[in-house]
Amino acid sequence: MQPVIEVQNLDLGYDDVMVMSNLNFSVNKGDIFIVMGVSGCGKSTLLKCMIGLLVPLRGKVLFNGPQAGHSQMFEKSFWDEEEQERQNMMRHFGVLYQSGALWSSLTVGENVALPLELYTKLSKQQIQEKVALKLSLVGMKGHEDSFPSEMSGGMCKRVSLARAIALDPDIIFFDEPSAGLDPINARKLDDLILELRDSLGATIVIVTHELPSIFAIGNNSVFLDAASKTMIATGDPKALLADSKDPRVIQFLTRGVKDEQKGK
Amino acid sequence: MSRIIWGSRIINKPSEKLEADYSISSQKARKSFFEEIGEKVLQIGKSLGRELDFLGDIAFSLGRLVTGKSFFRWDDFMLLVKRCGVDTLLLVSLISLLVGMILAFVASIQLKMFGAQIYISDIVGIAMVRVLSAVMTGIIVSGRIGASYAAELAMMQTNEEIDALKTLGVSPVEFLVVPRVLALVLMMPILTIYADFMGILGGFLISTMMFHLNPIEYLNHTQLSIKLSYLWIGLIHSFVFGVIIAVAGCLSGIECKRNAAGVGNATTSAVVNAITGLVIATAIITFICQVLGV
Repeated sequence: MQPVIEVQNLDLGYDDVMVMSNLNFSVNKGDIFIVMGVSGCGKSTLLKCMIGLLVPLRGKVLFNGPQAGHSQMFEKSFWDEEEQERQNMMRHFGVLYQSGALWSSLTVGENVALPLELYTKLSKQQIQEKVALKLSLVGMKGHEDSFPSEMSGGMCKRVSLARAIALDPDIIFFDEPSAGLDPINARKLDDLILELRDSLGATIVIVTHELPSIFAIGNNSVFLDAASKTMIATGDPKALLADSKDPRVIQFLTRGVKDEQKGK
Repeated sequence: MSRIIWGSRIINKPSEKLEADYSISSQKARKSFFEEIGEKVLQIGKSLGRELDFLGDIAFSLGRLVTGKSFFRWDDFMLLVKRCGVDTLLLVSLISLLVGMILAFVASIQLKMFGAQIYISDIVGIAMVRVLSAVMTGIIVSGRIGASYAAELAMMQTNEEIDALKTLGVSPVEFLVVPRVLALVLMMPILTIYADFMGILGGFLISTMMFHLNPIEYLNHTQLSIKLSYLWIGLIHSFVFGVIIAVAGCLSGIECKRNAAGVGNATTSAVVNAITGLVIATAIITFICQVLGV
């Protein structure tokens, strides 16, 4: 299967502090790819690098996708491209941030409309129709005139998701999508992610440590280890749980239950 | 099913090479008083560099705006302009009126010894129009608008709203900073002219009601003493102050650290940097005017 994202020999860090090193993995088209690991291990740092917010210390992030007007696939190293080209590539991404990151001075409708105003030549009427469509996809139709401050965390995430899919992106990144949500809303969001993957044909990358979500929707993953500052496993999370011999992976995926059982 | 790889890249601790490459330092030694002062002094250079970079970004974005290449939301801009006026008008009125009154009182101390109290009008008029209105307005605007710019942008930074703009391919400078700078640059001269009138009114009230000067004579003297060039000097001050306050506020907000103290520090540094900038700019403009003989 054609990989959509390839991470090669990636080292990440801030100033003189290294967070992760020697990351190598690929994400295939249509995957729901989970970036997992304990809190503070560098999952969000990796995501920042993949979405263009953090320059890596070393290594490459390659994106593959159909080039407009060509049947051939193109392969581009994100951080080796010029600023303008990077911005063009970023238009194929949708990002759902941990906090929702809705622009607080804009209404829900304006939040979803902004990417369309920027990058399409649709009329105001067409934009409004598309905004309504995207909001209905996430179950938020009718909230166009509300401000983010008037909504709950779950509602903000849904609107943020509508904004992320406004331009029908090829890849959608999620940073801790279930954070701050109750189990029922977290499950609904998982279902929504699956629906979006199927309806948009998008590839999904999710940073999370929520085990129910990981097993419910993930079909590929990378496990980051805080102590060794690198990845220690990659593959289907369910297969990792069944076959992995690494105690750190098993401890994480079983919430340490196997360790406790051994102790008894 | 995807292939599984585990245990192939286990590194139990950062290798020596990596430590050498990136000089990991997790424990910072406690610094002495003088070390910290020295560090702060060294930071001034870096901070000036960042401010110049930021000014360059703003100039570049303005160029894109003028050539119609950037995205500009006029509704947001008009709201910002309105806020600059509404939020500061009462304070500017009060402070300028009082400064005019204080100047009249202070000037009268010497002038009444020579029976030359009518010259209070000259002192109040010239001082307010040339520099004081702009400085007082600048200080008020730094506290109200500069701090609010910093707090807003800092909150946006903390809530990842600025990251969301970047991943959309939108420059935060174009989208957030340029409208704020333009709003303040537009409103500062208007507020300064208003403050000129309020200051002159303050001096007029004290001179006519307490020192019993003839109102018509006072106004005539004021009119004669204020040259058009003084008004221009005041407007130049206000324009420069508008840029300084907006840049200090926006830069502090955008550079905010994402922790509990971040927003507070951003607003504090916005006000401190803006007021320091105002004083330095005033000194430079005054010196230039002196050299040019205006």
